[in-house]
Amino acid sequence: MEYYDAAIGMQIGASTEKLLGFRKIFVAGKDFKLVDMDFSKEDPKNSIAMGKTSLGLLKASRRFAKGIIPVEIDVDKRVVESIKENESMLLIPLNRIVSTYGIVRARNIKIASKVLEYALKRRVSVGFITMASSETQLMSFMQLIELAKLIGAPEDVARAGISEINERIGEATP
Amino acid sequence: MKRKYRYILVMSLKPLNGVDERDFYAELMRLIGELHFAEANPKIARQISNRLFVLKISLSQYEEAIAALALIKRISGIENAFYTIYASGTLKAIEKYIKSTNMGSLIESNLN
Repeated sequence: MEYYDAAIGMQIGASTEKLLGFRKIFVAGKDFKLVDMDFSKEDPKNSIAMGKTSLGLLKASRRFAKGIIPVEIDVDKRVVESIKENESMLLIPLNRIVSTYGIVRARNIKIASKVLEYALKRRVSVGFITMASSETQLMSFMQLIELAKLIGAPEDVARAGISEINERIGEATP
Repeated sequence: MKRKYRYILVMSLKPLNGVDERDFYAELMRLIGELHFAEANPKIARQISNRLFVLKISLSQYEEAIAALALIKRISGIENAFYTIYASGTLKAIEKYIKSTNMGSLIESNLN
């Protein structure tokens, strides 16, 4: 099984990818098109959409975005339903867990668990990414799998969620 | 019953020169909890370079330790990160992995 990750606003060399155990770490803007639904008016069709508000994410999934990244993890159930209906993928950004501390981190883990639980119950396609914006937010594929398990993903779902993002992010070329 | 251990090859983002080993254990304990830490019984089994070391940890707490290592972002007051590169049941296998992947030159050519 080959593993993939996605990052934003940073340069990643082939040696880093190899060391961390990834086939490729996709970088937003360079390797895939990322549309911020809170600020951009761009059409998210066939790209990856991110946003803080459920309204923007709902719009993105209805417009056939290949993947949806809820920046603050917390998403409305309607968004999850829409992702399922439009055969998109829910991409859970684990940097929200890695880059926070204490109570905030505990809260984010709880939120991510609830979102993931609902998505798995509704059989929505789920992916796990670091969405790292700095080297301190990067992690190895082993750590990504364990963090996915920490929020409640079974081992096979965690592994598949890190492997299958290639089919979504890899096709969302800029 | 004999306790089983796993060896995890860990790489730090920044060199660990001057970092007190106890600070690393304290941070690990903060994340996995005192009771689990006792069960985990972590120990730096081998320091390979100033950015690469092998962590020996109880098999029962191995997965928690990998997740906890991802969450450490500061050690001895300095921003840092720890990446788990490889894991095995024996130190010999780790050494073999380091040799086969030419780890030294890979580290040289990335991240810093």
